Amino acid sequence: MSHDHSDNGHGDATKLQHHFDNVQQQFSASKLGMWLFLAQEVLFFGGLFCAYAVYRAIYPEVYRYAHQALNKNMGALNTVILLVSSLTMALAVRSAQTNNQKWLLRYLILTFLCAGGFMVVKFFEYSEKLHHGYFFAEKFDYQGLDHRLAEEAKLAHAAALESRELSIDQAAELEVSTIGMAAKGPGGVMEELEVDVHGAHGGHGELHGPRPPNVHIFFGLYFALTGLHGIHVLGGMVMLVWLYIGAVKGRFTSEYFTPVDLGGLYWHLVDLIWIYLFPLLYLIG
Amino acid sequence: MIEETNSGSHGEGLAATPVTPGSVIMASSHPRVGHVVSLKILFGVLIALLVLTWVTVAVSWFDLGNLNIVVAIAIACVKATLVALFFMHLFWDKRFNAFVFVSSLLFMSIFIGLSMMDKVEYDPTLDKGDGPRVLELKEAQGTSK
Repeated sequence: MSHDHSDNGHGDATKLQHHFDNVQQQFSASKLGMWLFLAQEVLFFGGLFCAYAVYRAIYPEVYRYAHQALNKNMGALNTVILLVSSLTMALAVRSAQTNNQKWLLRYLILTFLCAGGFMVVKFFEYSEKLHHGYFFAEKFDYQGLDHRLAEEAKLAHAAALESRELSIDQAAELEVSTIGMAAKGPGGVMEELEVDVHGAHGGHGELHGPRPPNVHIFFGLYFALTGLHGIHVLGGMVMLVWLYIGAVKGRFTSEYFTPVDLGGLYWHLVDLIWIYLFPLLYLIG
Repeated sequence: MIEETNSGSHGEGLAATPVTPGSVIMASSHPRVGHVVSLKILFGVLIALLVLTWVTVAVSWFDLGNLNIVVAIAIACVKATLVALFFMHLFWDKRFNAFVFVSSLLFMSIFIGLSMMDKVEYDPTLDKGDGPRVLELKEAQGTSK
């Protein structure tokens, strides 16, 4: 190479390494390296998505039932939080590119706060699940659940027998469908009251109605998917702190902003994964 | 406030900056490499993403049977495309980066696709009842269902 590398060729600002011909090549190589990592991340989550898909094909009723425990509103809120955080991250990259130190720092902070907000919402979601005993695998509280469902069924049955015609409000309070009763008519004797309960009104986190087998599988997948994603969010927060420290030291300018750019790519991927997780877990029928 | 940069379509080409050896480059409002995305595009994409999120949730309140998951995933794909193209800059990047990303999606599709095909084959052998641990529990409780 005919370059004089004694001063990195272009002053220290671009941080051109000796094994690259020019800054452009270095930047492209860095980007490609990051995209290769992101491709790996896709496959990483792909394994869990595959497990989700196969089990859903085998036990669709489990998914339809168990997702009642999830709160759609919190899920939607988390989606919005991450989408906004993606914007603030993109704006942070833009600030670094245009040498806007003030706003680079601010957007990094905003992104960090969004990430924190996401984890706070996630914390509330998880606490509610654990409170109900909806843990994964062995720890799932079947005893508690089945006991409560039996109580529910008894109550609903008793109430229906008390008066053959429940008013709409009473039925709603017990969350019992009046369809079965209406079909059988007020005159006949009802042997088996069909308790059809749909508890997914933005979710109060409880499972209602006849329980299909192996509900714990859904929660296993739920915790694995959202947990792994949550770990990635936490990792992203560490990365944001690292970027912030670097930015404070004035490392990132229009001459060299690569770490911010690559960190942004990682953050967008975390958002991408959640974009798929949200409908798959929260918006099931 | 935020500086508006007229970044045009520089792609990844370098603006030639005259350099004298040993001189310090004054950092400008124009990046040495890469391309600055306009504020209009960034905010526009966010609005689109928020609208699509709202649509996804709205559709989920209606029972379309098997179509529900199809619609949900389809909308998610549109959102993902927007994020990848504009937030992740693939629209202006070297094609190879997009190729790397798309090929990972392709391999994931093969992974899931073939696993699903396999499932269809072994489905008749599956026991769809409760697993052993749940059966244990039920025995312990003394209830039967």
